[in-house]
Amino acid sequence: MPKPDLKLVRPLEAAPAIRLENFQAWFGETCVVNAGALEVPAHKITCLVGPSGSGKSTLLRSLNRINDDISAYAMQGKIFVQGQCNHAGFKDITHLRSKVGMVFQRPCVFPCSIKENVLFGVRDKTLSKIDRAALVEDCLKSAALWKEVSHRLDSPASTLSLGQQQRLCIARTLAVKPDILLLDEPTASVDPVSARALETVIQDLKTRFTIIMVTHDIRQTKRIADHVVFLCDGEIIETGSCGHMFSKIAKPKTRTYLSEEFCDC
Amino acid sequence: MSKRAAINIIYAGALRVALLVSLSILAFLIGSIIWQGSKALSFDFIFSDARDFGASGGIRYQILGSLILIAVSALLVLPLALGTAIYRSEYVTSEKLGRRIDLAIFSLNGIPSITYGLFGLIIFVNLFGMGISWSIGSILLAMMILPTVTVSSYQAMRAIPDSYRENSIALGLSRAQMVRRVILPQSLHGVVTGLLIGLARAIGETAPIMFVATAFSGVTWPRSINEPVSTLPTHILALAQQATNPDALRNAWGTSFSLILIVILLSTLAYVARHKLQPGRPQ
Repeated sequence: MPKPDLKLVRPLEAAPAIRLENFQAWFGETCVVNAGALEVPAHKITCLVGPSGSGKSTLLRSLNRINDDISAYAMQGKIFVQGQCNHAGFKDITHLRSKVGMVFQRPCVFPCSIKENVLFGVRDKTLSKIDRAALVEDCLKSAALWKEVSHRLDSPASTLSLGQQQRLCIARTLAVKPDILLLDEPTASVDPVSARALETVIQDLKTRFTIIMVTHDIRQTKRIADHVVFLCDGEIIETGSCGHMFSKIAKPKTRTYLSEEFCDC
Repeated sequence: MSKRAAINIIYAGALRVALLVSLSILAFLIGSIIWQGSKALSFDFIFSDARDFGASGGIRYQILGSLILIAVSALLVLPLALGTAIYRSEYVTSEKLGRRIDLAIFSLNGIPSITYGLFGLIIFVNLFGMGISWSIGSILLAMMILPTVTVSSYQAMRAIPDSYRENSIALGLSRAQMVRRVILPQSLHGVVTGLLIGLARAIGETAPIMFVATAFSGVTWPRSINEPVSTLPTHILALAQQATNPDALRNAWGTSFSLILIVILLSTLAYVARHKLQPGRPQ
């Protein structure tokens, strides 16, 4: 009798996009994240909040193993990405990184045209010129940049404003067709108007992607988060839905931080 | 006048004097070579064969010999220097190993050029019995300029912002793809500049090649890799040994002028390459 497919036992909506088990991250002798267990719901915006140095970015960068290139970095425990261990389940690390896309704090466009930037990570050589053009249009539309740049796709990407560059970085990440988007303070380097435009883009994207975002901005978290994870001193203090976290806070540390953006831990 | 203002004036004056002395030495050297060398330099001088041990005739085969040596040494050094620089810049994660590689590269740069010549004589000529040939000269020159090209390439690679690396890796590019698509195009200016500066240095070298690669007279176009060539620096050396002969001395100045012109051409190309190939950087 064939074994039942365990992936089908649990409804897809209920399966977490990312699950951590006894996760710890170390830099040399120092444990910087001791997250224990965590589940990140699929197709929601999960915000990692907490004071500087609380391990938010380290945790985020561990998910797609960007930290692996740092010699002092080591991790313990397991991270499951869509049910697959992000070490044993992905023999090819580039496959993991194309499934779990990442946008960084400072927009970084490559010194080529807007179109070439969007296609930078696309490795499918079989795509025709028409398919590529369609992909560029689709990704730029998803990043709400198409209207602004459709007439100058061959212009250098460096001519865009910082806010536009950050949306281009999102479009470039989308072109690789990830399932999960990691955003490391994506609005920190841009002006408030551009930040609001980026927030709208991020909210629109959650129907197609699971989004995990690091932010320091509590008001932004209130505006866009579905799920909040509060970290302090490398530990997950409290997690829950956004409504729960801002109305029925259980832990004093979380209350202090979310109400006053100050943490005494 | 306050003491601080006086010190400022003296300090600026001392710097101007240092600059003036440096420029004067350069102007005197270049000026005397141009002044003396222009008397010998002509179309015939450049395109005819040397005669009477160089005292008459031209320097056609010396120019050719020098160009063969540096062209082949460029082909030899480029993959080695690029490979070393890429490995050091993109693959070495251990700081200890990185420091050891740096030490090895800088030590190689500190070896006197005559030592390369002796090394070539002992290893290639005596031990391997390869005889005196231009190919050994090219290998030795490649070894000699390896640190220059490596360090220039490495520095250009390290100047690339890490955000380029992170962003390309986050897009799912492998390390090899990142090197090919990001690191190499962005550091091309450093590679080309280092190579041209290295070649400008190599073409003027006498010591590493005079034992193993060159003959002082009677050589033409090499017909195999086992034949010696004559080069501009060794020709100058041979002519300088006939200093009592005014014709030989005039030709020595003419040869020096030709060598300087080639070095200036390579240095200018290096300068242009640095500016033309300099990539854009993220804002």
